[in-house]
Amino acid sequence: MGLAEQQKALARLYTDTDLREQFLIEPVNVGKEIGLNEDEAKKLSEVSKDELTFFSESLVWKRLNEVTKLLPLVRKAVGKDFEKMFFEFSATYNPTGVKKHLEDTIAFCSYLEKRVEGDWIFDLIRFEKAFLEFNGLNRKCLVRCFSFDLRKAIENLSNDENVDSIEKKCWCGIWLRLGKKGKAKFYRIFIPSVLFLRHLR
Amino acid sequence: MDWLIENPLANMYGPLFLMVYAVLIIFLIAFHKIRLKSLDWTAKMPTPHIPQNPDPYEIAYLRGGENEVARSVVFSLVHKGFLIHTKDFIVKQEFFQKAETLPEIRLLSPIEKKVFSSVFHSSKTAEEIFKDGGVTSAIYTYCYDYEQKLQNEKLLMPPEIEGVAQRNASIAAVVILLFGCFKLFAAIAHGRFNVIFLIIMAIVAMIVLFVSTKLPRLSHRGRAYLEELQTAFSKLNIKPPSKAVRTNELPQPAYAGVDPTLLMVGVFGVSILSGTSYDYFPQTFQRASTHESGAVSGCGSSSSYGSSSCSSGGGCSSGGGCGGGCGGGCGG
Amino acid sequence: MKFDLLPKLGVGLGFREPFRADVFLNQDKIDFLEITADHYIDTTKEKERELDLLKRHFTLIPHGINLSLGSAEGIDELYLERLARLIETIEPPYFSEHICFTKAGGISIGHLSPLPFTREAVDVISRNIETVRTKISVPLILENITYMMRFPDTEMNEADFVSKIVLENDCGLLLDVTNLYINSVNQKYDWREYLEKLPLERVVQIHFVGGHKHKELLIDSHSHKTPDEIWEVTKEVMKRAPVKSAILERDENFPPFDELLKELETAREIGRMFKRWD
Repeated sequence: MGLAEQQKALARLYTDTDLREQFLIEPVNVGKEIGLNEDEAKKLSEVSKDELTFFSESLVWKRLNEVTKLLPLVRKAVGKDFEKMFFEFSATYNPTGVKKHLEDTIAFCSYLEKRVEGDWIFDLIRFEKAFLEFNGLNRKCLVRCFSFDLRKAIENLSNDENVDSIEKKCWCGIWLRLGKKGKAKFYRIFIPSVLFLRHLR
Repeated sequence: MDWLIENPLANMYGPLFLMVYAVLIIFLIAFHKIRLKSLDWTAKMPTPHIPQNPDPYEIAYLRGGENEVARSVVFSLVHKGFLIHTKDFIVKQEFFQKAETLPEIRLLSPIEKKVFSSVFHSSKTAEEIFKDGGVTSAIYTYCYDYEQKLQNEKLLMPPEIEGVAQRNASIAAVVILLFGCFKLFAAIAHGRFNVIFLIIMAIVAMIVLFVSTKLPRLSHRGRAYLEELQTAFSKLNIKPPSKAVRTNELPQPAYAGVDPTLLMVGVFGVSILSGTSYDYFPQTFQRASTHESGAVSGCGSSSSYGSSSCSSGGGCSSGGGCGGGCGGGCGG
Repeated sequence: MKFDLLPKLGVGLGFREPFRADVFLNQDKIDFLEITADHYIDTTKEKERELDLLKRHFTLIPHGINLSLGSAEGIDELYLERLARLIETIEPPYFSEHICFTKAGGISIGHLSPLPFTREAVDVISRNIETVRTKISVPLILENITYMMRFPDTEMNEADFVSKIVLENDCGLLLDVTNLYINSVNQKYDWREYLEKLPLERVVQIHFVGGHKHKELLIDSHSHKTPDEIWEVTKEVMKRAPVKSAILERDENFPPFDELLKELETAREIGRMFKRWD
């Protein structure tokens, strides 16, 4: 089997759980789908099922590890469901490029937004996502509006405390890069009453 | 002398002259501002290396002068357990006063010892810290030494540049004033007394000239150095009073004998303490301070947003190393 | 390539942002830094400033993770351009990458994936290294990775595979002693016999760190203190190979920085014992 075909097949098997499971049951039929002839498929199926599964699963765990680091507050807020949802998500999306972990995380945030119950968590996801988009994707300006005052929630989560009731308060977050050196600034503007500005380096 | 009052400029229609005058003022101010940038020859100097044993107080002085040093020293005394912060709800004041049980005095650096013994024999409000007889007076000689050192390293704006800048500003001011006075004289000579706009414009021009072209306290080299210090040390964590303080032990060697929290305060100012157990600090000093911190508040000031969120962006790709790990949580 | 002409760098650390401040506070205990190249490619202004700052204070060795030298479909030219620009900025004495592939058929695997130990794989790597050298003239050293998967069409053992690649392409070797030990346990071979087969004169740098155990397998999680078994491998390698530098490659579960410095000092002492550096 040519190395190129083998690698293409492996890349698919490593990153597609359903495909991998089917391949391990019916290597020849599934092999055809991924560009392998009968001999190549049979050869590849001689790879240890446990080894293949272990390696493939470790890729998802690695992604999860990186995403957790980038969404520490969301992870705490969502709790155990975070992992479960990430595994579901990972089957639908595979990031590429030098910023793959960042892109993975942003895509996962979009996935979570559609699935998470509890409105303040929805805002929290968007909030952490905004920081990632602004900092990681080098955006010059970003504006996001939120319905809940997240300050208390963030303080509680940062200190590993339970989050009590969260006040509903409309506000806009403005992320800006100013000057030649592109210094990051963050402003919060409550709507509609009091203007409240904070600076973020 | 007729030529003084009979020439195209003197005879120029008033509003037209005001426009020309405005253009001249804007041009002179802009030119002066651009010249100022090129005057600062410290931009050509390499930035100093980040020291391995940084002095938080020297950095605080670089960042914002003696008031910043004062704030940092008071913080350190609280952090080390020598002072406590109290609130008197009746008189509605906040005080810093000696703690009932004091740790060993050897934990204090010379500047801290001086301040503690000469200032905090009685409790002090935050305002009193900045007044005569307060902390700023006690640290005068230390600040003088910092000033000299930072001047020698060209991290503060060299006096010779200030001299040149002032001379240039004066020349621009003289040109503006002469021009204005010339027109004022010509207008009066022609019997026109509606010169109030001319006078206001000249005054505003003087104010704008001197305000907008005031040199910063730090030289270009100093600003670059401060930014690098802030880049280097932005990942230090704010720690609560360490176990070391309570057991009278010296700080961990990994921090080169420097208290990491104090270093953060020195580099970023007390605003970095927002959202921590020292949250009262920035608020207390904000009400009391007569001098603005020169530093942009650091990530910690938004730690109410979760410092991880703040830093994760910048470090968004720094989590994993070379990826050699097998995911870390393999099945676990 | 005359590897003995490369400078002796001593003992350093894989740079990770969480301990940036600690690194600056302990400059005299860290001889150089290894940076993950991907972290500084197409990156933010903050990371650029960080790189500038690190460059001014330390010798930096860029460590690539995405060149995918083992990809049969060839090198990603755009990524190579960016890597080349980064290396030009840093001016390192050498740079490193892995004997693996990380992408194929438009899919990014997200991890260092093993190659079959075949002649074809050696040829693929050779072709790709040639491509890399059209853009990057700085010497390349190659790292051995861990692997769980063994391929049925293997033609040689791992040591021979690595040796052929390194010798035929005149590359240096970044011998990851942790990976070597882990593979020896998981794949049941004797690491000493492995070392016998390697062209040890080409070992320029070593990596060391601790992993963890998962059932019967050792995992290179880069998450724990370097254990005694790996120090033993380190000693053997330092004794026999003209190692110029050693890097502690801790990625996870960071302890107080003092503990990392102690590991660096242990490696330094071993190097001194075998006169690899002063």
